Amino acid sequence: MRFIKNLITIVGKNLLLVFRSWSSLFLLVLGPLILILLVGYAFSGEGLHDIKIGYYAQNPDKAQEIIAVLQDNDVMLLQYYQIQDCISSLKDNYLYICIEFSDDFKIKKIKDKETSQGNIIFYYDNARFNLVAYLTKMLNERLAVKTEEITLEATKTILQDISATVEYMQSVKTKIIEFRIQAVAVKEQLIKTKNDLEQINADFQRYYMDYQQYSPDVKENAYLLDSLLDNTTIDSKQAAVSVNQTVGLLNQTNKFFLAYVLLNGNNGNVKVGNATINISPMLKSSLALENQLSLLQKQIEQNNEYLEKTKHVSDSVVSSIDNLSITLEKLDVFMQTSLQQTQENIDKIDSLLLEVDSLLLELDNNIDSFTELTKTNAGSILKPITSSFVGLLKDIDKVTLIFPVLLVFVITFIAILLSTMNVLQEISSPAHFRTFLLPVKSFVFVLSLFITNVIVVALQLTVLLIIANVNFNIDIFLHLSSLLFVIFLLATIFITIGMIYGYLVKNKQISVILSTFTALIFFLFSDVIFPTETMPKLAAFFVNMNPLVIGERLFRKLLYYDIPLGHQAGDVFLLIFYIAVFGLLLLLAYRRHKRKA
Amino acid sequence: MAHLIQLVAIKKMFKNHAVLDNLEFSVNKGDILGLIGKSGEGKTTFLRVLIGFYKIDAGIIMFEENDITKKTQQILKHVGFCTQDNSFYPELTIEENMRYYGRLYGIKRKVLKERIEELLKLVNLYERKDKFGSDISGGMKRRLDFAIALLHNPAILILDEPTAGLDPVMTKEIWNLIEKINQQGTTVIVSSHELDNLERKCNKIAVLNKGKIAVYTLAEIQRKYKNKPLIDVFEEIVKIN
Repeated sequence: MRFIKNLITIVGKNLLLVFRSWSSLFLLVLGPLILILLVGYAFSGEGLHDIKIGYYAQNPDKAQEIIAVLQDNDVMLLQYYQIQDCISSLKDNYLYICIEFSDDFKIKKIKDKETSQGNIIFYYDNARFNLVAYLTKMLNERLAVKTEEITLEATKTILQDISATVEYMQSVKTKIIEFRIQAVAVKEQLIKTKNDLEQINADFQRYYMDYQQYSPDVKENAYLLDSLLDNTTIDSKQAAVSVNQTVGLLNQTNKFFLAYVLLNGNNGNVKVGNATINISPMLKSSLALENQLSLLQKQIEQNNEYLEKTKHVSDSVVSSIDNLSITLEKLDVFMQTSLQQTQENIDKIDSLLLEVDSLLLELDNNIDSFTELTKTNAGSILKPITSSFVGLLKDIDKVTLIFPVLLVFVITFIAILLSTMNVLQEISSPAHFRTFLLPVKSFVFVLSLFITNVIVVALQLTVLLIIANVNFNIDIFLHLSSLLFVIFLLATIFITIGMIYGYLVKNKQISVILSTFTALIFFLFSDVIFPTETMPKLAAFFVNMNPLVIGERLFRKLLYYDIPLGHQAGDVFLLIFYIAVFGLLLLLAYRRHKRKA
Repeated sequence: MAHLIQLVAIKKMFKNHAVLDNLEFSVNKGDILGLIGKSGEGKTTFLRVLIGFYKIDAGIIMFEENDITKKTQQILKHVGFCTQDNSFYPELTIEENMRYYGRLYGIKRKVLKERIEELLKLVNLYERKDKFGSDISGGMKRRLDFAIALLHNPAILILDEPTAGLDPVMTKEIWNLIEKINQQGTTVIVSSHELDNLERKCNKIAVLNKGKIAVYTLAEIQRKYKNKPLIDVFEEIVKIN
């Protein structure tokens, strides 16, 4: 019982001491409150904001559908005309993501609806590891919705098309089979025709050969007959002329003698010299001859007409024989050609039938595969849009990636705590008062203490940098001067803050707790755990002003992307501005401390 | 005789309370002045004003007829000061402490070496010069503090309760040392509650009371207060004021 009473008494006294000290009261009540409020506020953001995304597409019009999906109030999309420019902006932290649309990225029309197809590469800065998860999640979500939309639409259409195609192929198959049957029938018919032609050709050849054998004699005889007829006709015509002349002469003679008889009346007696000749019988014979000759003449003329007709017939026969020869030759050629063409056609039909068989087989396979395809669901069909994420830093392990954070974290904690403790050690030393009695300006003591802190922090960081170089293969020598300069700036800021605490809060415990608390605020109120882009905008603004965040940003760009400090002048000047402000505050804190000594 | 240091109409306020009010004070070269006053009366404040550590609200500080009120660095060149606590680094050796402060006083290296030897011999610490400040006795610490305060050869050595917390033997040693330092030509102002030693070692006594100071020679005290012990004199002065 006594023990408990003593315990209560001591605890009561301790609490009294705690609550009577303003600084401990601050740490007890306001400290956690501020920490919770600040950190709670910073972490209260729900979504990403102020995200700048660059994109490169050979044909930006074809990427518009995807760009539209990604763009909203919180995401700004910027077009680049070279992928390398886009990646440079990403390295420079101006962009968060760089999108490259594949050269074959296109808009495909499916049933009057345009959908995108192709590959998308998202480049990201994997050194900003905490932001990457948020960005990839956002992009995947947005893209997945769009892809799913396109996929489902496309899949439905594709499945409908497949069904229609299967139906169409079935009908085509039936038609091909019908065509095949017909082709086989045609082939058989052609074979039969060919056989008939061959038979006819065999007969024809036999007769044609006979004809060819006899046709020259026939022709010759025909020509001879024709010639004979020509000669006979000529002779006959001459004979007719002669007979005609003879009839004419005889007619003249007979007329003379008849006239003489009639005129002399002496019964036809003609005194010739001493002799008297009776001419009447002779006249009678001459008249009979004339009649006979006239009849002959008529007969000859009739024969001539016959000869003319025969000659004409003979000419026709010769001509017909010639025509027959030409026709038979043509027929022979035609027969040979027809036979050859028939054979070729049969061969062609054979070849076509083979092709049709092959097509039928292929068609069967296609129908089978399409039939199988229609049994599967739409989800199993590949995405129309494929995407991949490519980190700018390849083959770098996580420890290396986290190195800039580790470095600023170490600088922050070591610098603040060490400088606070060094100041406390100095001002709580019995020798401290004498520093006020020395003919040395106060500034020199503050500066010397600062330099001491810088040296100690530098020693610790040297070890860290050596480990980074040896163990993690981080090339610290590439930008060593810049790296050391940034380390110096950061160390200066945090050392100054620690020294301010040391001079303002003389109680060692409280001062150390306050320093730790401040370092924690710097750490928690940064983008190490959650990226600034997920915080409320005002919180993000202040977090981006956090020297720890600035330092980490500078280290990252220096170590991983070789971006010189000249390109990061804004951040460097901000750190210098902090140094000026905290340096002034340090001098004020020292003056206050001196006044109260 | 010219005053080595003189304070004229000094006023020092803490918040709205005047700790020193229209204070007049002077000390001559070669004096050992003992400062007495009630606890909390402002002895330490007075001494800190004297060394220029506290800025005064009104008044003038003269050193050898020169106004050095606003020249704090000037005052520090002429004054050596020892607080109630020892003001050196216990983590450093005696010699390292001496060297450190000597350099900050701007003493040249060669001169400093000789000065350190001289002072350490004066305070009888030369043989222990390599000992750490944390490893020496209370009396030695005080002596080291004196030696440090004398490094720049000040005209005045101001000691704020130099024997506080020391045993009688050590106390005697310190007072002998103070006397020795004074004999070497250094003016000493010493604040102490040891009135016997003050009476024995000092030639002047300053009484601080209610923000004002009154300086008496021992002869004046003996004459005025008829050889009364200093404690009685002090009580009387305090009562009167």
